Amino acid sequence: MFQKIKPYMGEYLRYTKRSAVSITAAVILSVAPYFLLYQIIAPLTAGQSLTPGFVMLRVGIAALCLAGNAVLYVHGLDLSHLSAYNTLRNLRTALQEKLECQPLGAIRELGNGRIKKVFTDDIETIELLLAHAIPEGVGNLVIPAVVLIAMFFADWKLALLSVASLPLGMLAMGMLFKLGTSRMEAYYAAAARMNNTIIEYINGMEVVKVFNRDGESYERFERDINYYRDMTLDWYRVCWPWMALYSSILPCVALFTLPVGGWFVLRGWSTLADYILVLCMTFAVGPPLLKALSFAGKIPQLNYKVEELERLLDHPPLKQSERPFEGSGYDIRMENLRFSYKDAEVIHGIDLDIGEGQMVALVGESGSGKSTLAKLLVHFYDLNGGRITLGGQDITDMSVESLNEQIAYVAQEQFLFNTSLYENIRIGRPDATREEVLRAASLAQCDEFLARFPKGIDSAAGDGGKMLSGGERQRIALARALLKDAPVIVLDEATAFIDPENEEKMNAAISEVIRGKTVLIIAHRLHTVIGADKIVVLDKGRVEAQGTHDELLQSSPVYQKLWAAAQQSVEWEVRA
Amino acid sequence: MIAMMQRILRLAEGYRTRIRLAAVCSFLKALLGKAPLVIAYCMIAGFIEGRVDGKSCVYAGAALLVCLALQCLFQNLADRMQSSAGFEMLADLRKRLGAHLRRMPMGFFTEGNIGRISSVLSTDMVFIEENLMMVLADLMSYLFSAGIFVLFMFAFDWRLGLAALLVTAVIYGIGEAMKKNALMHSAERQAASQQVTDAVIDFTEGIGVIKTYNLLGEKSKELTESFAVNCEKNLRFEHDYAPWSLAINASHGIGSAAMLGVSWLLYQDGTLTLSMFIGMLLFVFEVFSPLKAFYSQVARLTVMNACLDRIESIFDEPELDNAGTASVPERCDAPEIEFRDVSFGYNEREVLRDVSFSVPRDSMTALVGPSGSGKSTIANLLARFWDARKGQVLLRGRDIREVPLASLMDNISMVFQRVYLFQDTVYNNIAIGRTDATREEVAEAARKARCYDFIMALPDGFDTVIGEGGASLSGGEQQRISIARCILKDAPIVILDEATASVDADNESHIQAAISELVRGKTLLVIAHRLGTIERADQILVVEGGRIVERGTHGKLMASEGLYRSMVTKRSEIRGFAR
Repeated sequence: MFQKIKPYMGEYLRYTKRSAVSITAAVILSVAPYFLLYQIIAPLTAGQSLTPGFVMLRVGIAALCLAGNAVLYVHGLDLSHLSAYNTLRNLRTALQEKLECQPLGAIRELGNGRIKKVFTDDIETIELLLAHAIPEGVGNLVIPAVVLIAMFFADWKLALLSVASLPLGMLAMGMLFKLGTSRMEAYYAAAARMNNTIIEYINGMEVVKVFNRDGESYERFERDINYYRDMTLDWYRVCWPWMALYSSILPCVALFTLPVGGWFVLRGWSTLADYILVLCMTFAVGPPLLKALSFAGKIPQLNYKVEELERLLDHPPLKQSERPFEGSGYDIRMENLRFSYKDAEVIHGIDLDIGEGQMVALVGESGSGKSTLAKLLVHFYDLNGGRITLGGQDITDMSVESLNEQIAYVAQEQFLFNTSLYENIRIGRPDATREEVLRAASLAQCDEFLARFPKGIDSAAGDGGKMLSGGERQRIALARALLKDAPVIVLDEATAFIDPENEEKMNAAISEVIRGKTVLIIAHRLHTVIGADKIVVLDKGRVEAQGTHDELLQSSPVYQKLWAAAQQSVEWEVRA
Repeated sequence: MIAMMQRILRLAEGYRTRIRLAAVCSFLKALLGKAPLVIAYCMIAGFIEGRVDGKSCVYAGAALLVCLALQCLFQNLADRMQSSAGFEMLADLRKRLGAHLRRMPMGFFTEGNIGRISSVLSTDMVFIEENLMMVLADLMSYLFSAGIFVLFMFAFDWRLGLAALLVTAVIYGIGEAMKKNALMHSAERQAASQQVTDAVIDFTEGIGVIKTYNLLGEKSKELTESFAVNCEKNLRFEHDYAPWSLAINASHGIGSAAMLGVSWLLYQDGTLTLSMFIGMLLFVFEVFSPLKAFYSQVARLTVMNACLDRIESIFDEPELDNAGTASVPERCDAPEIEFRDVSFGYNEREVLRDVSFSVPRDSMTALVGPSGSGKSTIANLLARFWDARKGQVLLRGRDIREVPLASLMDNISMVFQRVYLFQDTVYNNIAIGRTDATREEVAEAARKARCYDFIMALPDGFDTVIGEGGASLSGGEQQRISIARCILKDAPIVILDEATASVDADNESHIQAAISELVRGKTLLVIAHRLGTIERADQILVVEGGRIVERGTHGKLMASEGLYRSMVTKRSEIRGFAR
């Protein structure tokens, strides 16, 4: 039952074991006072008188037992939490290690939301299982079982009567699980539907108000909330009777013992003392039994949950070697590249050379494979065919780190860490001096907006860089790339999110970054790359044509179309 | 604790009676659960007095069965009433929140607030629904039982009663202190789990940068450390909580034993009969159990308290005043749009000051200025995303706050960079523009917005479902769908964020064509980013620092030595990257 979680528990497994022992001992101490009661009641019913010392000793022991129970139970939970939280930490760290070896594409595919959920909510649910279900379940199950067995030594007839009620309670519990699961799907579907509607209701609020459709949108919102409520209640309505049955019958272990056992005593088949003893025992085992069974259903989930977590991150790791970059020069060669996204091939055999110091631009409609090609070059994904070499060395034949040292990659959407803007730029070269960082910021045209913040470059970027506009984030990213000063530059739609007010500044910053480098650029505006040494026209994952701007205007129909559209856009005016 | 329960009850308006009834059922159920003890007491007492015969065994069995049946019944009733009240109450609460959101100013729905609302609706309310409503009536019944049992002890003997009261007071004192402690730490607890969430998000969202800048070592250590810190903090919380829980459990145990001792003394001096004493022995461990069970729910109630805080904070956000009943004049001499001395600010920050201008019917007005100057805010005030703090916005001479929001919206179409499409068919996404549009009109709008071709290329054409689980559209395609909506709506006023036209290079010319279709013959307010696109505007308003600093046509503004002219001349032709 625990084999999946065991490797993550490591040395902490012993704390869980000790916790179970401690809680089991605590349960013994909670059961013990009932024996003391028996010791007092039995002689009294037989007409014997008791000395105050005899009774007070037992009162004292009962007090000690119950106090001991409190201590041991709390101590047990302390231990189990120690083990649980450390196991959670180990699990998280192990998953993190797995995550780190994945190709970036696999991570992106999973999505940030899903990954966040795995590391927080999903792992958090294991806490309940480890810290409570296992030790408390064990302790509360073992002791009632022992007590029930012990009854057989006292009086097997009365013991049989006491065990007799258990199957009834179990039956009710089984029915609950069976009926409950059959309805669960409808319930989950309704919950998912409601959540979707809620998300859409909130996100679409602006649109529906603008189009005066908030009435309808609200109706749908209301309908799906009602539907969820009704489905939930339908589900519960089926469960309630069985819940009531099992939670009433199960703790009532004396159900048969009390009347039938009384008759046994009358007939002389059992002694009154044994009757009282067994009754006290039945009272003792009821509560822990109920507690144990409430945990019972949860323990099997543990394996399933861990397995699910592991499966999620079970992709083959990225192909790379330990070797450093040993290439001669920085010319880039792509030979017959093939790449599939999920199961669909999106790059169908591309050949492309970029000479050292050359600037090559990729153009093409969206979906033509421009960005994918850039990502393949920086080894975010592994190829399905062909190879990419840098300075003659295959990029899979070097470590990702040493490849990254040669390339500065500026992606479409730039992420900023929630530290200062200064730190965000310094990432480019951690050993840079403050002067160098400031110079890079300045060259990347950041000065103007940095002046807007009270703390300038030392202001916080906010979560993911929320304090800045898209264009400003991109200029920070450019400053980062400038500071890195790598021989190869890959720019993906570097001006895509630029505020048009700042376009000129951005172009100046880019010119600064690419000076004297080997450059692969994905152009947002055709005009910006007409001076490139080579323009490569991509069309549906293939190279349609390549050449200079003038050559392509002559030879490539796709390029002609792109150029015409670009010309038209520049001249476009709003006219009422 | 009681205050926290009352807070929930306040929320449960309309269901309070049911919850109270549920509490009574839950109490009766708990009481009936003690039947085996009582019957055992009767049997044992009967044996002592020698009056047990076959019949009494049958009676005992029958009584036990009846009690069990009643117990099931009351539990079922309690579940039905409290849980169903819970789900119904939460459904009502969600609907109430939905209705409240509907009345909020559109400007409220920023990315951050959308996240906040989603988490309230999907996390906080679910927590209350799943955790609290199941136990609320039980909690009330525990309290009730605790009180009744103490009274019961007084009925036995005043000394027993006093002892019970004393133990109860001790447990109560510890419990309340524990609650206070838990409340105090609840913010820290939340911060601890938030810290892991933040670290994970920082790591996954930033993974591209982390990998390309070889930060894996450093950032990965940060993440690992955040896990360790979280582990440590959680352990400390559990550790802090442990003594309280220990104190409650121990006082329950020692208190019960003490009651046992008192009973013995009372039996000794003859106050209690033998059977009464035996009854006490059997019952003594139950006296303080309800209170113990009550305080075992402290952690839950604390989390709930935080959930309620967040729920209430959204209910506290002010709604947009939409009490206006006047109608928008059809055609008149008043300007189509007029701003009179409008000032506006978010919180303390003033964004617009004394803005006045008017827009004649069927003319084009462009708002230009540096980013952050307030030009978008002007457009937002016209659409009542927010209301002006000072001054008036008039539509054909009528203050827009005097007309229902719906009538205002009938007159305005907006094209912004942010597009939201519903998880629905393409057709419905466009038809939202006008309810009574025919299929031909929808197709025509799609054609005008340059959507028709790509729609027909989708697997089911107009009936293709888009969004999650459906077909995905590129940014430019989504933008054109949103323009098709506006074309279908055919409102006389169009607010256009011009940057939309260049949001997606590959689609740029298509989007531009779609916009040209939309704005034909309309009163047009353009938030301009590229100056070249609005040169023909009838009126250009130059906004800087929240004020209109210049106004006039392109020709007039170029003739004067102002901001506009300097912006135009500074803007060089779009050039290639220099090498």
